[in-house]
Amino acid sequence: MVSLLAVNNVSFRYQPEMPLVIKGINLTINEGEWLAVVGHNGSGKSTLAKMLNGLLQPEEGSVVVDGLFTNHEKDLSLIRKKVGMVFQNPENQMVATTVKDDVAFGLENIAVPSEEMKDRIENSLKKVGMSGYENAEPHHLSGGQKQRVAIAGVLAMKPSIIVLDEATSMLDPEGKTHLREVMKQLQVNEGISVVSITHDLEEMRQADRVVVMKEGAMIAEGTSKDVLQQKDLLEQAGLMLPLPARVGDRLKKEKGWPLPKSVTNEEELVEALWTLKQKN
Amino acid sequence: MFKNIIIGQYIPGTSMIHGMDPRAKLIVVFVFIINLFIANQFVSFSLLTLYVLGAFFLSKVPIRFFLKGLRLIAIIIVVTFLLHLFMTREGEPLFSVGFLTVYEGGVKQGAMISLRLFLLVVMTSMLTLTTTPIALTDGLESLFNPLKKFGVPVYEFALMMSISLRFIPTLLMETEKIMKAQMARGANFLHGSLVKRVKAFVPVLVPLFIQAFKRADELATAMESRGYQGGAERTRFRQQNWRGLDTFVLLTVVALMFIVLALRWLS
Ligand SMILES: Nc1ncnc2c1ncn2[C@@H]1O[C@H](COP(=O)(O)OP(=O)(O)OP(=O)(O)O)[C@@H](O)[C@H]1O
Ligand SMILES: [Mg+2]
Repeated sequence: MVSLLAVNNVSFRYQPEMPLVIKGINLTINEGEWLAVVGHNGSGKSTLAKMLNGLLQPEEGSVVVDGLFTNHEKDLSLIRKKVGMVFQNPENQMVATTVKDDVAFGLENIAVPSEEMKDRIENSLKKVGMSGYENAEPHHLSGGQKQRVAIAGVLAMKPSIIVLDEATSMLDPEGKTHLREVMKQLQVNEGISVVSITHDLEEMRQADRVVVMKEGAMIAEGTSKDVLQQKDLLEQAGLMLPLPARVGDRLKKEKGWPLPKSVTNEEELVEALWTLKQKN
Repeated sequence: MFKNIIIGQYIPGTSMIHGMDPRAKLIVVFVFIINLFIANQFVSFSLLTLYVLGAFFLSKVPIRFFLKGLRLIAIIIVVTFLLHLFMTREGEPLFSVGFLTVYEGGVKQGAMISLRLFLLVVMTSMLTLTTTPIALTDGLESLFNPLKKFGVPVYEFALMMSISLRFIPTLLMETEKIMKAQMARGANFLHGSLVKRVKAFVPVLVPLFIQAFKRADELATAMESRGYQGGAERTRFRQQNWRGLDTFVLLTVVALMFIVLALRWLS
């Protein structure tokens, strides 16, 4: 596995005298992987995310993107091209008055020649399913559409990593699903690594690897299946188990039914119940 | 309430005037306004009126949009006309109403000034009706570009302007939402004395401002993370292209200037 980004023993605080918000975190992000970061409100997820592309600088330790250190001012432009970010509020990320101008904003910043922009914009809008909206104005788009435009804006810069900081949390269920699908496509087809900070278990399930944060430290790391099975860990991370998992749990605990350990979604629950019924 | 707001007055179209470079339009309107103030002859004003009429037909913008813009200014035009009509004491007295006497000069003066105002409003409406606010901003930016040498942050002003344009609908919709929330709690924006109604707006403005600051902060972070660095050299997606047509239209208004100047000089 090729590592694209390394967080080396990073600590951070917002103000001197204030307690550390990030405490000695070590993390690597590999090429083409989907990494989910979960944790309670205030556990430092957004702070960590902002350090990945140099919006914030570590107080101790270093963040290295493809050999570039985020604390080297002159490399920041390149780092931000490589590590794209999409934030929570769809409304507060669009800069321009039309979709195509907004996608162009990042390209203008990294001085892409204007002849090249049109193709890049069309391409990235196509990849997020927003072709045909080039001239639409932001206030005529839904939250989910705005988030997809934000992704297109990042995508146009040809990033190797896209960081989503609770990017789906303000969307309706349909918008959430659509955005997740778009990101999955990008991960599979374009080989882009995804770092998704989330409270959403569906999104966590989509991850190859999950990191659990608590009070600025990493308290666990594992495959999404592993983490989803550790109920107390999830509770510590402030995550509610999905309904089928909770049903399976209580059937085991309260009724003493011999269900297998790994019930995480509806199909698995149905499957387990079927097997059980056939046995009896 | 604010559902179908349109920023500026732009009326989409494909006319020759719509297609002109915003810089050309800005310069043409500017020179035309100078012409309006140089003109002092009947012939000059006829020519200028013809010019505006020509532009009107070429723009293919329905007349009602111009009338809308004129509605507000109409009172000013009428008042100006009447003032000049009664206050100017030049030439032959024509007739008197009570203690007021109308002189020939007053009619001339009044007509000239109100025609000037009228043409000025129509011509500037022409500009805003056929050019999107963002294109206008771009045009202004590149016209003021030379000022960069003197340390004027021209680009930053233009960016500020375009971000404002972007967020006007957002803020209006937010205002509506907050107003509805306050109305649900019994706030009354429509009735009561003026002071009362103004007071009712305070609980709307406070959350609006707090939200706006939060937005500004988040937008700044998003911009920075997309590689924006104040002052750094950027390329531009929107390209302006000055075509032969733009030069031609500019020449017509400059030619008009020479004629108007000559007429003034000859008189
Ligand atoms: N700009 C700031 N200045 C000072 N302290 C801050 C600032 N931003 C965040 N903090 C503090 O840092 C800690 C971590 O915040 P952070 O936003 O990283 O948490 P989070 O895990 O993203 O939470 P959430 O799930 O609510 O988004 C919190 O205690 C928060 O109060
Ligand atoms: Mg956060």
